[in-house]
Amino acid sequence: MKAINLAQVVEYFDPKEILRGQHLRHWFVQRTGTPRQRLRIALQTQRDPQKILFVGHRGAGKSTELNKLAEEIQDSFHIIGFDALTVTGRSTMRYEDLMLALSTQVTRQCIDQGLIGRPASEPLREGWQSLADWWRRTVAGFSLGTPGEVETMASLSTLLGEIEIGVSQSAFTRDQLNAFVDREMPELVRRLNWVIGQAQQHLSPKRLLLVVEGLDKVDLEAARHIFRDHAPTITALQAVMIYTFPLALRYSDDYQIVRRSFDRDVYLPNFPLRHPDGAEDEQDRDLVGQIALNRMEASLVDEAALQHMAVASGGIPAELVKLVNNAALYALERNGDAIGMNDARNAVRDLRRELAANLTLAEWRLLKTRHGDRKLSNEPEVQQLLYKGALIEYSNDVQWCDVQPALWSLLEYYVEEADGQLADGGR
Amino acid sequence: MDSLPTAVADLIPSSAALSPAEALETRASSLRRLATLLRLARGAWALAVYESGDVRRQMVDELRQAVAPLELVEVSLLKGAPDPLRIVRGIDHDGEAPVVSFHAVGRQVADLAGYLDLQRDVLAGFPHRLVFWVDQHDRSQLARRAPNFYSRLSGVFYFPGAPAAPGQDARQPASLATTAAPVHASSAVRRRPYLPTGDERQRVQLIDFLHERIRALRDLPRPDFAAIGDAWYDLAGIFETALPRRWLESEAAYLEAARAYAAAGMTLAEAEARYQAGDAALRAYDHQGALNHLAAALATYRLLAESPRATPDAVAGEANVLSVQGDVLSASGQGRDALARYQEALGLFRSVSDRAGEAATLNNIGAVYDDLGEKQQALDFYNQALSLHREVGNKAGEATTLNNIGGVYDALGEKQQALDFFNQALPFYRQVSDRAGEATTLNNIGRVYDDLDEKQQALAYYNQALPLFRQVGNKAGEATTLNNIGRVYDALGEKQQALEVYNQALPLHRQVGNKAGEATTLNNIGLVYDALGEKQQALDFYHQALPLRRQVGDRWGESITRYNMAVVCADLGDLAGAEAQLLLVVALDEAIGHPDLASDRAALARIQARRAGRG
Repeated sequence: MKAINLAQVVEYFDPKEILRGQHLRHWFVQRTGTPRQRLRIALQTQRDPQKILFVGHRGAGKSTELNKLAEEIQDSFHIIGFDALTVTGRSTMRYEDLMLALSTQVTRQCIDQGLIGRPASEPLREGWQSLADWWRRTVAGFSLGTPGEVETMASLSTLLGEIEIGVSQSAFTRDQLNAFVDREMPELVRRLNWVIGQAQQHLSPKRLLLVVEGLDKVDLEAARHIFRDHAPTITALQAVMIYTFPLALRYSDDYQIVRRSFDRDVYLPNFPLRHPDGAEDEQDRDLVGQIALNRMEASLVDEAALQHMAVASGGIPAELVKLVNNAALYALERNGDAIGMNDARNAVRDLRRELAANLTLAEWRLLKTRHGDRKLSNEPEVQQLLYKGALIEYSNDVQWCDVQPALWSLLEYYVEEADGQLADGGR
Repeated sequence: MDSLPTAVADLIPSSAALSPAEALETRASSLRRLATLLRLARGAWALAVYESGDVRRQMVDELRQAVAPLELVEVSLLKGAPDPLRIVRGIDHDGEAPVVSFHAVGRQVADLAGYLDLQRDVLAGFPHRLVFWVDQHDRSQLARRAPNFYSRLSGVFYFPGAPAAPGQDARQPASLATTAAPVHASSAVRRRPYLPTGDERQRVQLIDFLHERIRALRDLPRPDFAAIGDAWYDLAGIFETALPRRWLESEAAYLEAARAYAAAGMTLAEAEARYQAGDAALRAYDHQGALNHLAAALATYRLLAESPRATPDAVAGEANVLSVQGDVLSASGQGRDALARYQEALGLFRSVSDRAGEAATLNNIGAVYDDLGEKQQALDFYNQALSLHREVGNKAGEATTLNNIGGVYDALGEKQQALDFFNQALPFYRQVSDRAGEATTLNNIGRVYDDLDEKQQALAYYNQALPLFRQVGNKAGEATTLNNIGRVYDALGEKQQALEVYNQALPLHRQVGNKAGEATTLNNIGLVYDALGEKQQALDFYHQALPLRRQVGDRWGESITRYNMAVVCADLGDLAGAEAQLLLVVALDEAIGHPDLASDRAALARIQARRAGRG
C-alpha cells in the first residue's frame, strides 16, 4: 500500500499516525542498532517480572517500535497497554494518579477481555468494595445505585470507568482520591496483584505484559516524583512492565537512583545520518529515505529531493513524514506530478523557520559550540535544546549530538549577528 | 527570552518583512496549501498563524469556499468554553468529516496548550480536520508548551498582512438571525463565539479580560482599532450568551465595535456590527432602536454592494439586514410590511447562493403567513424551508421549522400530527442547546394536550417550559406560557387563579410589544369574566382585544374574539349585535379556511332564526 499520486502522499504522510496493523506491516522500517531485538530476547528468555524503562526522542518512533514488539511477541505475551497521560489527564501527575490509573486500567481491561472468569468475581468484588463505598460516600452526585451493589463484573468495570472520568475532570475528586489511594496503597497493590495473578493463570503459558506509555511526556518534576521517589511502588506489580520515560531525566543526576529500581533501560536512538567525525552514514540515510519510499511510489519524488529531506529530518522519522507531506503540498500547488527539489527546499525552509523562531541568542551560541564539538552533556541548557528539537542526540559509535541539519545553513549568520548585537551593548 | 536576531524574525513571513504584494502572495499560497491538506487528509491538524484579526476572518471565509464541499465549522474557544475535544465530539457529520476552525479568544493559550498536549491522542482518534488560528505570540507559546501536540501538526501556515485598507475588509456577515418568537421560533444560523451558558463566574472573568484588553489597545501610541473592534465584538457575543441574556449590553458593545471598525476604515465590519446591534435591540424589544441600527447598516451594505469591488458579503449582509427588519416588523404586528422585506431578502440570498439564509427566510415568511392566519400558505413555505435546512444540515433551523409546522397542524386541529412534529423538533433543540427553542416546543406540546383536554399533562409541559424561558430571559415566551397556564386553570374551573396568571402575562406582552399575545390574553380574560357571569366586563375585554387583533392582521384571532362577543351579546339578549358579529365571523372563517366554519354558520343560522322568531 503505497501512495500512487501526490494526493495520496498528503493522505498517507500523517505525522500524527502511530503505525499499527496494515500500516505497521507495510511501512515499518527496520533500523540498525534498534534495541527491540535485545528487548524481545530478554522478555522471552527471562521468567521474572522485569521492569523496563523505554526512552527515546520525541518523534523517534517509540510507539511504533513498541507496537512492532507487541506484534513480534504476541505468541508469548498478552499485552495490556494504555497512555497514562491520557487516562489521568494531567502532565503534573503524582504516583497516586499513576497507581490508580494502573489499577483501573488493568482491572477493567482484564474484565473486558475476559481474563477473569465469573467464578472469580466474588473475591474481586470484595477487593473493590471499600473503594466503591468510599467513592459513593465522598464523591457527590455519583450514581451507581445503593451501596453494596457492586455485584457484577460489568458494574465494576463501569465503576472504574466512572472513577477515571471523575479523577481526570475534577481536581477535588483527584485530591480526595489521592489521599485515599495513598492510605490504602499496600491494599491497592495487593488487590492489583491478585487481578494480575488471575489473568496470568487464565493466560498461561502466555504471560502478561503491561505497557505504560505517556510518562515520557510528563513534567520533569512529576517524573522525579514518580520514578525516583516512588520507584519501589511502581515496580511492585507481579507482571512484566515497560514504562516510557522522559529523556531529560535520563541525563539528570537522579538517574542513577532511578535506574537501581529497574531491571533494564532501553534507549531508542534516532537514525544517525553521520558519524561523530562528520562522515556520512549512508546506510542510515538510505534507511530514512526508505521510510518515505515504503509509503509512496519512487516516481513521486525526485531522488535528490528525497535525500535533501532525509538529511534535513535529522534522522527523526516523524520529521521526515512532515517534510514529505509539506513538500507534496508545494508540488500540488504548482500542479506538479512529483516532489521536486524546489518543493523539498520549501518544506525544509518551513521546518527551519519553526525551529529557528523558538531559539534565543544564547541558544544560538550554544548550538554553534555543539555543532563544533558534538559533545553531549547534561547541562539544563543542552537538555532544553534537545527538548526543542534544535539539537539531536545520536548513538552510533558513541553518544553524541549535533544541531538539527535544517539549521546548519543559518548557524554562522545568526551567531555573527548575535555577536554584533552584543558588541553594540546587547538588547 | 532575549530578542531574536532580526534575520530570524525575517524568516517568519510578516507584513514587516514583506511588501503588500508579497504578503498577498504568501497568504494565497498558504491558503491553497492549507485547503489542499484539509481536503485530502482526514484528521489532519494545522496551525494557521495570522497577524491581524481582519485577515484571519477573510482567510477563514476564503478557506470555507476552498474546502467545499467539506463543511467548515467555526468555533471560538473562549476562556471557560468546552475543550476542543468536547466540541469535536459534539460535531456530527454524516459523510466526510468537516473542517473545524478554532480561534482562541481571551483564553490563555498556555491553558489550551497543556490541554492539547495531553489530549492529543484522544483528539487524534477523530476524523475531523482541525485548524487552530493563532497569532505569532501564541504560536511560540504553543511550540514551547505543547511540543508533543506541535510535533504532530501536519503543517504551520502563515497569513501575513496588516489590517486591510478601507473598503477592502471582508468580515462576512452572520448568515441570518431572527427573533425567537414564542410559537414561531425562527432560525438562528449566525456564527458566534462559543461560550457555554452556565459558568457565569468565568464569564465575568472573560468580560474583565476583554475590557482590560480594550483599555490596553486604546493606550497604544497608535491604537489598533481593528483589534479594539474585535474585542468589543467578542464582548457583545459574551453578553448575548449570558443567562439571562444581556441584550442591552450586547447592543451597546456592538455599537462600540462599529465605531472602532469605522475608525479602522473597515466598512464592511462596521456594517456587520451595526446589523448585530439591530438584532440585539430587537431581542431587547426596542423595536425603534433596532430599526435605526438596521437602517444604518443597510445603507452601508448597499453602498458596498453597488461599488465596483462588491463582494458577495455585502449582498449577503444586505439580505441579513432586510431579514431582521422583517423580524422587527413582524414582531410589531406589521406582517404585510415584514413580508415585503423577507421577499427582498429572499431574492438576495438566492443571488449569492446562500442556501442557509434562503431556508431561514422561507421559514420566516411561513411564520408571517402563519400569524396572518393563512395556514396553507404558511405550510407551503415551511415545507420549502424544511427541505433546504436538511440540505445544508442546519439542525437548529430544522428544529424551528418542524416546530412551526407542528404549530400549523395544531391550529388546523390535527393534534396527533402536531405532536409528531413537535416531538421531532425537541431533540434537535436539545442537541443544539437552544433553550428558548426547547421551551417553545414544550409550550406547544402543552397546548396540544390542553386542546385534547388532558389538562394535567398540559400543565406539566407548561411548567417545564416556563423556567427555561425565564432562564434565558425570554419574556415573550414567558408571557405566552403564562397565558396558556391561565387557560388550563380556567378550564379546570379555577377562575381566580386563571385571572391571576393572565394578569402576570399581560404586562409582559406589553413590555415586549407583542400585540397579538396581548390580544389573546385580553380575549381570555374576557372569557373568564363571561364564565363568572360578569358579561359587561367580558365585553370590555373583548373590545380591548379586537383592535389589537385587527392591527396585527390576525384574522384567525379576530374570528375567535368576534365569536366570543357574539355569545355575550346573545346572552345579554342583543341578538342584532350577535348576528352582526357572527356574520363577520363567517366571512373571516371563509377567508382563512377556519375549521369551525360549518359550526359558525350553524350558530349564525340559529341566531337569525331566533331573531326571525322574535320578529
